[in-house]
Amino acid sequence: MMRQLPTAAREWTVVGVTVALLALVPLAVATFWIQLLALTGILAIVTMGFNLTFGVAGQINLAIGGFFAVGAYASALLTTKASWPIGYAALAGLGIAGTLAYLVAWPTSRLRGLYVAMATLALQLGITAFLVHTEPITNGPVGVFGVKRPVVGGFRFATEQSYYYLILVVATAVFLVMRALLRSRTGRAYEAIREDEDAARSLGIRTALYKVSAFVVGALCASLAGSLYAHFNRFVSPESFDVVRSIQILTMAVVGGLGSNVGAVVGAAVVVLLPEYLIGLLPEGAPNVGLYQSLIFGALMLLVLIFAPGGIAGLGRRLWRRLGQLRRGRPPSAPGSPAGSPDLSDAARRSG
Amino acid sequence: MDELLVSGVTVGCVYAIIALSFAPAFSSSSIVNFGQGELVMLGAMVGAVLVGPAGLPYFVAIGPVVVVTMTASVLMYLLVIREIRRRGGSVISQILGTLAAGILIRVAVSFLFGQQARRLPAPFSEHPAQLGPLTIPTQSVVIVAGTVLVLVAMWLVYTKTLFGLTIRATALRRDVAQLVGIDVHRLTAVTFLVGGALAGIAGMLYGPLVNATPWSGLQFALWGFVALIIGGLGSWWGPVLAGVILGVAEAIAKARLGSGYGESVTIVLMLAFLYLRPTGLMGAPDVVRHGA
Repeated sequence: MMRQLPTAAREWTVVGVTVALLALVPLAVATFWIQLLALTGILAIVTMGFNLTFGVAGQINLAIGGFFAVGAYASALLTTKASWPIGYAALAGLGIAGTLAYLVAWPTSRLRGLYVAMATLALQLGITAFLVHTEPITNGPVGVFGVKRPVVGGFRFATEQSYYYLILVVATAVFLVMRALLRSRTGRAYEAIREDEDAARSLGIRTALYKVSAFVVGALCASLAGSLYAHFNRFVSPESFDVVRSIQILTMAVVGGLGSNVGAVVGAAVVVLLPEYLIGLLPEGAPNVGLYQSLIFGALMLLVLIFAPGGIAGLGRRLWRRLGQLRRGRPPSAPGSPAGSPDLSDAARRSG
Repeated sequence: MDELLVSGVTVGCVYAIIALSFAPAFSSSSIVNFGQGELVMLGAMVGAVLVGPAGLPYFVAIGPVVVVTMTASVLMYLLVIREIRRRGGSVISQILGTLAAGILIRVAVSFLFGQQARRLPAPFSEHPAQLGPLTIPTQSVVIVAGTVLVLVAMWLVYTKTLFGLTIRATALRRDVAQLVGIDVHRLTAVTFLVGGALAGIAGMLYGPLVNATPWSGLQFALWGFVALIIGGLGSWWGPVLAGVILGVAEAIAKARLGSGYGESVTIVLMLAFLYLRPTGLMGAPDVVRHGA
């Protein structure tokens, strides 16, 4: 039998090897796929934040695409129209997104489940309407052109490869911060609120404060990713941040496995790359390509919800446990034995 | 001002029916159907095709439209919600399931009818009715009359029939209802049929006033839900009153501030109510405290 490293060391090894492999990918694939992977990284940052808000703390935020827009538009507008430095523009985006999230989260922190869903859905439609209708500020439906790639210490992230590495670094940092946050006292408080808000409150957890903070952290991640997106795409328009974007992020979190930080990243990868691969199988010039994307989101989400409620992370955990049992020569436990996986199957039943 | 009032009340009635179409399924299964707006959209689109290109009379088309939306609604329950629930999925998973099913309905409608906007031809050519100083467009009369009919019918069913009693009992205590011999699963399926029928009627009534596209569904759902929140979950007249208030407020905002501001009023009103009075105008305080 193979000598076992301590769990923590093994996890760091897995993280390190994964990042190293991702760093090698651009050497092997075409620019098109590098762009897709860069987009995956950006959306993975949004999804990790969304997972914290919804998967861990149980507060759905259907305006996540709107917060993504806040960062993207702050960066795009301030760097092109006001010639701000890129870093300050991104910080301004974070400030606006954080404030907006705070303002929305206080009233909704008294609410539960579907009320939060509807309030945030309304906010999403409001942000889209703002982007389209306030033309003097946002350029309206036309969008903002001419956003530049960032320059750091004299180096300009001009090529797709270099920008991919920038995104990889930021995404890895967000991943590690989220991971630490989920394992902290705060992370456990979030889970307690998701499991049973009344019980959490009776244990002295300040539920309103935690709900608001989970919401704000998710919005900040989305805004940060939005800034990265604006400089990556060099063009922003309202279409990229409408309600479909929010549903895409939701699909990523559900497919990856709600509550799992790793799942958020895997879910983002699957939801970006799978439709792209499947649409690639369509005949050249097929109509309604966008519809196929919606079709795949919907079908993927339904399949996961029905057949794999823990998402890919849940499946992974089950597989891992099976492998462990096989290696120790024990028969796999009967199906339906207590799984103890922190998926939402039991969690949000009350807070629903 | 008079015109604004008339158009506001008209649109408000539609909001009210959409709001009420959430109610049956919600009361039997505590599921807010996020696909409900897509059902309304489905009704408006199928109606537009049947009355427009196919040339069916408006009042005849209501039949097949309602059958289509009822079928879609009950399939949503049987294939999605019940399957998720059977495997131990949470309420949130079930609600996400309705959202996913709604996406599939939107995709199906797009493939079948195309993505262009469609408008249902109105049943009567324009002979506006004259009521004192008010000039009332014919479709407004149809909508208000239709809403009143639906409301009276639902009120009768809920309060005067055994079926209504079983729904109310199940809403109150699902487990106890099961104990006294109510087949909760069959009942839930039936409530989805009712919700689907209401969505179809809402689509038929509203179709002549809007250019419906496959993307209109979320908007419809939001309007209905805002009316439900402002009116109060679990109340009958609240959503109707709220729908009318909302419709009038939107009409005034559009006329005074510009056409882009209708949505903003909806959103501000909803946030204000969520903040100041989450139980809505007439909702039982219970509903919010226990979550939904």
